[in-house]
Amino acid sequence: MLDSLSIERTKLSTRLIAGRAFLIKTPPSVHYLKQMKTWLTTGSQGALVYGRPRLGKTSATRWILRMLPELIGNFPSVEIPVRGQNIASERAFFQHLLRCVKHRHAMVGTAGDKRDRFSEFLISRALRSPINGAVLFFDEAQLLQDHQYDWLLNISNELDKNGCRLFCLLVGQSELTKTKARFIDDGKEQIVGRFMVRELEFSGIISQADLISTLDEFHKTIYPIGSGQLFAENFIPIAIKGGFNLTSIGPAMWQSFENLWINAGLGDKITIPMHYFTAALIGILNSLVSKDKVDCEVSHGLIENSVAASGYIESLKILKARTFV
Amino acid sequence: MSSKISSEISSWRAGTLRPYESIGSIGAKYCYLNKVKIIEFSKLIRGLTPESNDGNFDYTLDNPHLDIKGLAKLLNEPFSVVNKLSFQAFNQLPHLTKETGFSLVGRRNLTYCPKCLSDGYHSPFHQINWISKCFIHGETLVQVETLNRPSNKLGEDARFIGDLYDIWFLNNDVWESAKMSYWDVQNHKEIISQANKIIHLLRSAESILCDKNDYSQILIGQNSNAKLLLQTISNNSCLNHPIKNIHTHEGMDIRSAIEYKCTPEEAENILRMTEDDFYLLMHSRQAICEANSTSTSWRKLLSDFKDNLLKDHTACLCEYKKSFERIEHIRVMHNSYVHPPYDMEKFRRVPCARIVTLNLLQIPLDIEYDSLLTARSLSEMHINNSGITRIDELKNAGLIGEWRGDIVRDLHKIMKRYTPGYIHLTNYETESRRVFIYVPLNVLADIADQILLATAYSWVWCLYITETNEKVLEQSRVVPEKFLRSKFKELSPVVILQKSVNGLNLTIGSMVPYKQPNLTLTKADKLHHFADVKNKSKKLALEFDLELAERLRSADLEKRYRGYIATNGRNCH
Repeated sequence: MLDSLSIERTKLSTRLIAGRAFLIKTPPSVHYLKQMKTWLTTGSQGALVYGRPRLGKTSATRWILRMLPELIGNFPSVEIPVRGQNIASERAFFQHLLRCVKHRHAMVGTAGDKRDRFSEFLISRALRSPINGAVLFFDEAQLLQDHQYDWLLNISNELDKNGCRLFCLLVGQSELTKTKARFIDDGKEQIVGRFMVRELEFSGIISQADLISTLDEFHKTIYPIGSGQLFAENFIPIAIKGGFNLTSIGPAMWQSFENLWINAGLGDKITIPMHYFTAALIGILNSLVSKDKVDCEVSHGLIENSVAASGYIESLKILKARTFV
Repeated sequence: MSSKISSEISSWRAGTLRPYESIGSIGAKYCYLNKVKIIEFSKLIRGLTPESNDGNFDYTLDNPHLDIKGLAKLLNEPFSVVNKLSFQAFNQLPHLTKETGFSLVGRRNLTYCPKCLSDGYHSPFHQINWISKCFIHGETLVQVETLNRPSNKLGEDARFIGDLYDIWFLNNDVWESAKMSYWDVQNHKEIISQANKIIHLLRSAESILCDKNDYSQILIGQNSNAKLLLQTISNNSCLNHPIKNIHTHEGMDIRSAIEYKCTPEEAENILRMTEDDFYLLMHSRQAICEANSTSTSWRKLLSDFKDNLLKDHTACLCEYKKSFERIEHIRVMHNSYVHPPYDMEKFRRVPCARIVTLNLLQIPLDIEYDSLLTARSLSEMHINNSGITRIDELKNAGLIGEWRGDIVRDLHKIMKRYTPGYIHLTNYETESRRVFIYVPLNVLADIADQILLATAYSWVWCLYITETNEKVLEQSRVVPEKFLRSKFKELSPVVILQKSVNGLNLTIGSMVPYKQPNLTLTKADKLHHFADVKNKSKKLALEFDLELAERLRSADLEKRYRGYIATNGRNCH
């Protein structure tokens, strides 16, 4: 029978995997943050951030939007999950945007009313921010349809007229670059010039140093918030109190991921998506629960098993298939 | 609702709400910023009031059950400013209300200060009936003519949301920065300090009156702002300059005081009477003067006015009567209910506007049912349940007496002879009614006559104003009687009775001139008018014919259709 601690650990594991427990600083996200700061402070009005699935683009974007106010001051930002089929009309599109900002009057009025309402909402907030702008973060932006870019252009112009700026952060799969190329071919320079000049290919963990640095962030994280206990203490409290540090498993973890990469026959440079890294770490911590003691030792076998169970192997198979197609 | 409000957001510009800003002003801005209709805003405000307590108030934000904290959350404004949106802190000043007629009743039409409006501000202080100048700038307030429809279940002032929206956001030249992305709001301190001056003054006057209770005067009148004005102007006012500065009513004519000699005992007894006592005794005075055909100035005035109304319109009335009889005959003959084309209560349904005026004149003349003075019938004033307080003292002082007599019914029904099938008097009702009431005597009767004269002048002018507003009322679809009753209230005289050396001083503040309005028509006008009347009469008759024909045709079809159903479709024509 499961005890209450075990239930709590399961909850924590699932929340972490779903990206809802806490956001973690990783070397790729630090790079992303620097880029974003530059874009916002140099007058850009949009950027493409793309990469393979499960790299952690969404979480990284959420993290940078949380960190940026500390660097450049408060600004309004709205996360908009793009759902292609639901937002075919202008009315439905702006209704979706208004619902994303939890606007009280999201449901009433014509398409024009909703567009104006959304512009007014952004303008009133953008004007109060130090960067005189607002950020719209479109998640899964590859699903945006062509006419929706035109509607965004209208909003951007509206903000421009009122002395402020709209920044559209288009985060999604690598298809986004194809959309950009297509717009260039079709002569839609106004959209490319406005929202797609800046680009960033988001990567996962690409070196042992990156992996150890990420583990260090996990180790230093206090969770649940306000509890005063380290994240890993939820699993191995005795070992952590005895001085165990998550970074100590870094080299072995890296080795395991690298072995799988090499075994998959992929020639390119190794990339570990955040999802599989997190899943492997959760697997390791859950396996250590029964072995929690002051001098906790983590065997290579345990780490290899956890990495293998994270789903990384399957993802490499898909990657290999795509590479050779 | 509150939890929903806290999680939802809107496009209100936080920090732009100003103290004592009206719901009209807030609503107009909210609707503009959020691109929503007024109904959406009304729903939000209604959501801040428990359903059982959302009754109508002059000022929406004065509703004591309104969730002020919820409103602060909704607009994301500081509680300190939101708390300064209502008059709750000073709308209950009972002594001031009793002694001076103070009230915060608002005007029905939007009233504004041009300077405030150009700064994007409107306050309920601009709407208060007796305030004629802006409490901030001292500018004369401007009143708009048109009436907006009231907002459902919000206070009367919510109707101004539409007015202010149109003024600010459909025009480009009233509030320059209305459509800009930023509104400059500077004058909070000034608003608060000017408002505080008035509030402080009213409160201190209330506390003075609270200590004083010497029955040195009595104030009578149905128009509270006129009462306040008369009190402000009279010598022993407890309200001083700030009130005088913002309270100017150019329409009031203060007549020179009339002194009534009486003993100190009589004077004190009269001054201890309540305002309602006065009205009850004026009503009974009106009744016995009619019953006894006593000659009084006010009776003469009303009788002359009636003659003047009839004078140049006898031909119109005859035409009306003839046409009406003809149509009634057709109507009864066909035994099919079609509304008669004539209706004395609507200008558009009579050939001559004077018919409506004569019909309306019956309201003040009616002493039997629903008197304008007391809103009571004579039966209700029966001696055992008269409603008058301190009857014994007044009787002992010889100021009132019992009167038993017959009142002829229907004396006031001028239009009876011009209306066929007059059905108001049922067969089983007698032609006269026996009444047993208290009536004023001696000096009190003289005072009642004088007040009745001032009141009769206001009735006469109100009727005249109603007739002259015929077209406006038709366009706005306002019922003439409703308009007239609001005018009666607005233009009724106010009276102060004060102690004097020899007895009592009566000062009347009349809101209308002490003369009859000019109703005479030139010969040419008269001919032209009668031609119009004939024309309109024909049109109304034609309308009736068409309606009747339509009704008969549909009745015929209905009959056939019934036959079709009865035969289950076999006998289809």
